[in-house]
Amino acid sequence: MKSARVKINDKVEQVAVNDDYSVIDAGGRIWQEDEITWLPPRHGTVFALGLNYVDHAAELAFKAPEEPLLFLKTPNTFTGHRQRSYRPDNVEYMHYEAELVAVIGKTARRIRRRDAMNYVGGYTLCNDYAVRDYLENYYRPNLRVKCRDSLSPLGPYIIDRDDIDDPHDLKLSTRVNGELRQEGTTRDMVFNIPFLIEYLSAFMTLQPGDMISTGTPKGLSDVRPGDEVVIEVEQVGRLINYVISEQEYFDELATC
Amino acid sequence: MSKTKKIRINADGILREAVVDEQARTRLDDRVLELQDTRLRPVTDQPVICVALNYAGHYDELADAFQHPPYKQPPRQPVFFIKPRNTLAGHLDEIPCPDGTDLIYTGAGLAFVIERTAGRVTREQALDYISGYTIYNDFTLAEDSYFRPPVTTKCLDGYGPVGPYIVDREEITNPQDIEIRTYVNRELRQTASTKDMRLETPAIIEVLTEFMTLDPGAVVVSGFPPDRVAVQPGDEVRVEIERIGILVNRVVQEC
Repeated sequence: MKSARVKINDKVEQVAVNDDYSVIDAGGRIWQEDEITWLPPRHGTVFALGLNYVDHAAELAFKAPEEPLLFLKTPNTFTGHRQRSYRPDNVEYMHYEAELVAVIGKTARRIRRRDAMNYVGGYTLCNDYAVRDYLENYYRPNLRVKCRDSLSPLGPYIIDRDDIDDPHDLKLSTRVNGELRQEGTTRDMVFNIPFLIEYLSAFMTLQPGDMISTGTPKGLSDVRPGDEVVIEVEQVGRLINYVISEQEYFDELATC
Repeated sequence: MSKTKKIRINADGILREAVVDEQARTRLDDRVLELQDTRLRPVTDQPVICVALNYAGHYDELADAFQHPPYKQPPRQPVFFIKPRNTLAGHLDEIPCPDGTDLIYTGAGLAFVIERTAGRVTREQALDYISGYTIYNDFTLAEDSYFRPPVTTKCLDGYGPVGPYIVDREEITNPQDIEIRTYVNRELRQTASTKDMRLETPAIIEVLTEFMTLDPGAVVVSGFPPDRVAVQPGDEVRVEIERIGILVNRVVQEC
């Protein structure tokens, strides 16, 4: 079962999603993908992981961390499936990051690793773009890198936990304009989902709708306005995003 | 004559917005409530954005460290951090000190509240986007590095009391000349002035909204004076900000 938040005729609706990405609203009516606007599927607190794949850490000349490198995302940065994200002017390097996201299904406090999967409600995808030009060694990665407006496509939907055989054995990929750029498997996560739920819930309460974006494997590359970026996680789905220029983004904002 | 102040309370089991009027009465719609019957809730329900390293004294203390690894050079841009929703707490809420931790630290700061959607706001227009001001206390475990985002130290449940109410912006003619005092068990432990802020309020809004659109009701904390005060279970922490009010929280041992 897959569920999403979409806009239909300017109204926000909770819908069920079919395999062909058509959706069914609460009244049972079916809408095709070109009749809807996808929104981020939930609003909870989102934690993301840095350097959580061994090969990616090596790619960035870091050794894998001894404890999770966690950072927070803010609500302004999220956008839905098939939406546009802008690349700031005058930056050298902005890259995608294909990530599997675990969505918390029930309130979790001081949960042990072996019980942790009971607290996962489902999964979604995040393309956790980063603008590397803005990295600094203070609270790294900082908000300018990871919390910019529009730069965190999330979705398209949440797929139920039990629809995925093993979240730690899924292929991930990123294609830019159809070209395969990033490939990996969730087997290579340094800190897996049960570990992260135990770790976070040891000092805070995770609420339904909170999310943990579990990091990205190696294979980063620059993206440019005009690029179509598709991230895909086996069994979960694919999340499409279009990169536009700063000018286009703000022109569009001004007209709506 | 003081204007009304905005609060959020639990009334009849529902979270509601109310006001405290000029006679210090709590008004909800047309009713006057007995304040002792109401529990003040945090004045926002959004994650809170904080400016780090924004007081001259604190920055100066660290200036030498900033030249060395892991930092290697001073910040090129202002440094922000996020307090997620689980950290929100209200006036008089208890702050739990985790098992196995002896001391936690206060972080009194002047906060402003956004009135309308703020994206790419210039510093000249910035004050028009503020609806009012409130008090924030960034409780934290000991923080010995600014290299990685402060999640395990600052994101504990209830570690960001905010309130007790929002004072109308008209009450604060100059946000850069406000005194902030922290008392522990009625003893004055820290005095600071927003005069020492490196990045002033309008500039914070300009810098932040260049990349982040702020929604109505968003709370931004403009910084924390140096030398955070260590507190332990049993301590009553009282932050007093001139022209705004008093935010009180007690530290308790986590059970």
